[in-house]
Amino acid sequence: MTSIAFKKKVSMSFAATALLLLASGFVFAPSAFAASTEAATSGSYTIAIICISAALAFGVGALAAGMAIGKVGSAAMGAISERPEIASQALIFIALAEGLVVFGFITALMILGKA
Amino acid sequence: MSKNPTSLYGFINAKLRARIGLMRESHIIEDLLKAKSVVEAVAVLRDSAHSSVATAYDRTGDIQQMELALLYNEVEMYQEVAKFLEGKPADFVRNLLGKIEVDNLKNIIRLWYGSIIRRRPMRFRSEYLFKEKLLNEIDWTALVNATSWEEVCQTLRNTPYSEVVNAFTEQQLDDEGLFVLENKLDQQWYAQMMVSTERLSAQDKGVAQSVFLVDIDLKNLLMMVRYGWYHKMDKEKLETLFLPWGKVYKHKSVLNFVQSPVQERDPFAVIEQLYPGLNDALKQISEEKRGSIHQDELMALQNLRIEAYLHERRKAVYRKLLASDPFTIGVSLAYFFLYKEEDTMIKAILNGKYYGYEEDYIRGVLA
Repeated sequence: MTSIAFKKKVSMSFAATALLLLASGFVFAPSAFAASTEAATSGSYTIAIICISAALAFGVGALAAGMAIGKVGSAAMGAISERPEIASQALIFIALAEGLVVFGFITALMILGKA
Repeated sequence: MSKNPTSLYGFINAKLRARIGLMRESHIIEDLLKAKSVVEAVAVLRDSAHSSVATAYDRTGDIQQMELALLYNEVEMYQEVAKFLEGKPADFVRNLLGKIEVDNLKNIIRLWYGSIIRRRPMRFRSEYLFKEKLLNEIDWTALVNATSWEEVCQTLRNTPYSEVVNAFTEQQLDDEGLFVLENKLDQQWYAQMMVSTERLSAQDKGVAQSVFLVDIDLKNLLMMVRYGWYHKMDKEKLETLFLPWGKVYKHKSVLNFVQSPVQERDPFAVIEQLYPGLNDALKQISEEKRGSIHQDELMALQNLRIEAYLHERRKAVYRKLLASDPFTIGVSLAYFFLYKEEDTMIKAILNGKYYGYEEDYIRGVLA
């Protein structure tokens, strides 16, 4: 496998992870939609807006984390291919990027707590 | 669609920075210097990134084959970096290979010249030439075996070098030698690189030009001192040698230097204005050595001092590149510079060991 193919595979796997996270974000969507319908029928949009906000906070966070991990990960792979001993240090930077989705998740939970 | 700099340079620059780190940590130069013989030096190379050089020695026992192996490694290094880049930056890196192609072409023309014009047998020397494709499709073997200048021109007809070589005749080369032709080939490469830098993004262009302009200043200053002062070349010839870029070329004092009569030319007055620190060092050499060595030797020492000073300036530019934006072509350029520097040192040490020089003497030459 050429290094470009390897690099593409790594980027694609990171992108796939991001998509998976984003998709899991939308797991909230049906309940949000159901809640919003219920809320709408009861004449209040508040719950619907809260649920959509929570889904957005998580979804956008996941998307951003996916993009960041794609870039940090590809640079990390470049460095690790030359110096395998720095793998653990490189993983720290990937974890930092992954923090974005955690912040999104916490924010989503906090928003849902307001409902 | 062009990639953004983070995506384009993230992978390759991290890879090259890791390699630069390894280069800095490696003790290869020190171990080579301490080797007692060429065989011990080869053993040092065997466990390094230059193992192909050791293999070349095992196969042939020939120092020039080792140099050829180093050249192959260098070409591979440029090709590898170009492979990880895309678009204009990749073209730019590929164009850098053009310098190796030009140098190879010059070497072959020198061999051809020695054999056909000067009637000196070529013997085995053609074995040490690089004969693979670099940038353009050139039949290197046909060039070496050409029996006339027309044949050389014919072999180069579909390459960018065609116009330059066609501007010369066999008689002209016989009378004047190869110096002007070689200079024109170098000028063409620099012109190509300047065009190539223009095509890069604004940030990359700034970085690449900062490197090239320092290099061009170095060349022009050496041309001025060597040919304008040392060889006392007349104004018309000297003007054609300069590369038309950089601060040295545009400086008024350089223009005055070229215009003034050969006997009245004073390179130190020019250097004083352009690089005051260098002028002090040159004056110091004159004062220290005056009377003890021949004027020619003094001039050679001063030339070496200029080269060393400009090399230091170049080094400073590359150091700055490594400390600046990590998502530009600068990291690749710095890596090429450091790689070449290490390569040159390895070549010098191997030659030193091969000819039996002492460690201290080789250290002195490298410094």
